[in-house]
Amino acid sequence: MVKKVATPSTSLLRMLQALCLLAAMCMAPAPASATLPDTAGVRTRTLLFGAGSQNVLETYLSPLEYTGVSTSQMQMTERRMPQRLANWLTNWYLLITMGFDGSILHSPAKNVDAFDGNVASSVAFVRGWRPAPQWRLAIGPMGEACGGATFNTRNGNNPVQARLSATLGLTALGEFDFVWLRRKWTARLQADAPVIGLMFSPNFGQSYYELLGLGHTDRNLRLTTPFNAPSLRLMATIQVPLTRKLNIVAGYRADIRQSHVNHLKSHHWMHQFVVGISRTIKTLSR
Amino acid sequence: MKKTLLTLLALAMLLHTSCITEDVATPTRAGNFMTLWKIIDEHYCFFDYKQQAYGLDWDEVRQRYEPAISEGMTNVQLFEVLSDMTAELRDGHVNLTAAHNVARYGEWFDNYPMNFSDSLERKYLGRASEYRAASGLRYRILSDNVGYLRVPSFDVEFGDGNLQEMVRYLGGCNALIVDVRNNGGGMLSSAEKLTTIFVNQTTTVGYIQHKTGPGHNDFSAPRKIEVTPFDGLRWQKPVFVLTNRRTYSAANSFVMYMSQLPAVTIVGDRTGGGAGMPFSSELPNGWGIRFSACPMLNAKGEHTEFGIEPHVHVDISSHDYSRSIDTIIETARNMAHDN
Repeated sequence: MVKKVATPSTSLLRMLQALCLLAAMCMAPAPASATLPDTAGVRTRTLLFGAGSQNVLETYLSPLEYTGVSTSQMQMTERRMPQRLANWLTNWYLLITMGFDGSILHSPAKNVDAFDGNVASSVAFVRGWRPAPQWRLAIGPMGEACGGATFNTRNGNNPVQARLSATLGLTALGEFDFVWLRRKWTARLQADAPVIGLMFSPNFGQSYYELLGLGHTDRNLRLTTPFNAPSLRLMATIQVPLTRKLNIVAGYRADIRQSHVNHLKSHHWMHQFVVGISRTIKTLSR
Repeated sequence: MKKTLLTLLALAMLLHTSCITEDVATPTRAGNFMTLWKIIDEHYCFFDYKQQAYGLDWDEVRQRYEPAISEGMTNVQLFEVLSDMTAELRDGHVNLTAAHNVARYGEWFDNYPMNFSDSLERKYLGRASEYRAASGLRYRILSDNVGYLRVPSFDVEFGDGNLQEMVRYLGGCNALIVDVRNNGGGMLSSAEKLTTIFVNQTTTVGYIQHKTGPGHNDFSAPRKIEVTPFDGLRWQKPVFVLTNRRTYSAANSFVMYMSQLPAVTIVGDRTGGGAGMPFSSELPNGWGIRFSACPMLNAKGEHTEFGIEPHVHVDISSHDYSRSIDTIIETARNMAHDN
């Protein structure tokens, strides 16, 4: 008699199956529209506020990881491309995101403070599919520009590490409509992954005095790939209508930005709870 | 099933290797020791120069001090051991900072004559109403029509107006004495700014390098430090720069810039040095560490980390001290009359 032992992979699959079953029991699919606008000329605008924690490593400033609270604000606009421009655009969407975040951080010994701030703007051009009435999937290229700085209150000639980057990557998102408690809900998961780009970084021991005061550049613009700058942005949200055009959005946001260039290591791991509103706006064509 | 397992394993490996982190020791005594040793090992900029100058071997330093570390030692005892270890670098820019003390290396001035006195400074500058003061610069015209400019620090940014007014006020003097004794430094940009009133064309006054990696010899090529002439009145007559062992860091750089200009004579004692721009870092227990990170070289490409020898070496004699005479200022005044 052979005794079957559950391997880690079978256990994982069983757990996933159980979760899917539970989700199916709780949520009946609804043939309603998701957050991606169905028709051209309709825009969905989402304003999100986030609060959570951030873990920052900037070895230009310190070999230690600083942690603290972070807040953010994001604005997203999504629109379906008008068919009149080209037939092939019928199922393409434009996603524009702008946002900023700020953090107050502390050293592990809690005797030094640091301040971190970033602004980012991205444009994604995604192709949408509807595998089932309640499902929407989309994937496409994304371009992003980011700038930011971390200021360490103790350091003398190396008090700041500035960041500037422009990247091209991929955006993928999935939306699922369901009815629960007699309301139509939309679950959404979006991932943005930079693939290739350029970033600014001082060289290993280069001071900003030398860089900005004397104008001495030295390998300050570096090519980034997932090998030296593995980064990922994830946003998982649930949306429920408040009125016919206004929705409440809440969820989780993870912003993982990392780099290892010029022998300098950097990571910014931000996890936030986000909440906000989403509006559907019909624009009149001229 | 095998495929799923392999996929999950590959995903787990990718996620694991994707995390960019720094290996930092825990805040134990040994962990703090190793972190300090490693920060200096990877970032300090004078290993090669000091190996040649006095045989500094940072690996040997670690082997010598590591046995002195034990987890039962107190914070004060740990601080003493780490301070002694950093003192091996013989660098006034290396400071270990704790709540109870700041470790500093002082051999570069403690073993030498002071060659400066507040009382003598007061005698030559006079009462507060007798000299001008602007942005930290103090100046007056001495009785023999020699201008005297006291620059106690480069911590202050000098404005164009400050320099313009100063040159206009002292313009009638036959010579100018610039006293940077006991000037412990400050901003390099201030040292450069003050130099601009003494040059008539863009002049290469030195070179700067930076580390390009953690290796002891990972350096960029030396790049020029150029000073462009001041946009206004500039000093065209003889200049005497007064120095002592406490002329350090940005003040040492100022002397380095000035020493190669044709109308400039350096008078006094050798400067203290400090030719590495310091960076800061920290240990797991919260103590701060400052260290020389970017070496600055003179216009000949030579290190000035251990100071700059003056053109005319003068100490204040005890006989002059007793008569309230500053031998170094008087030497400069005599030379100004001889010109």
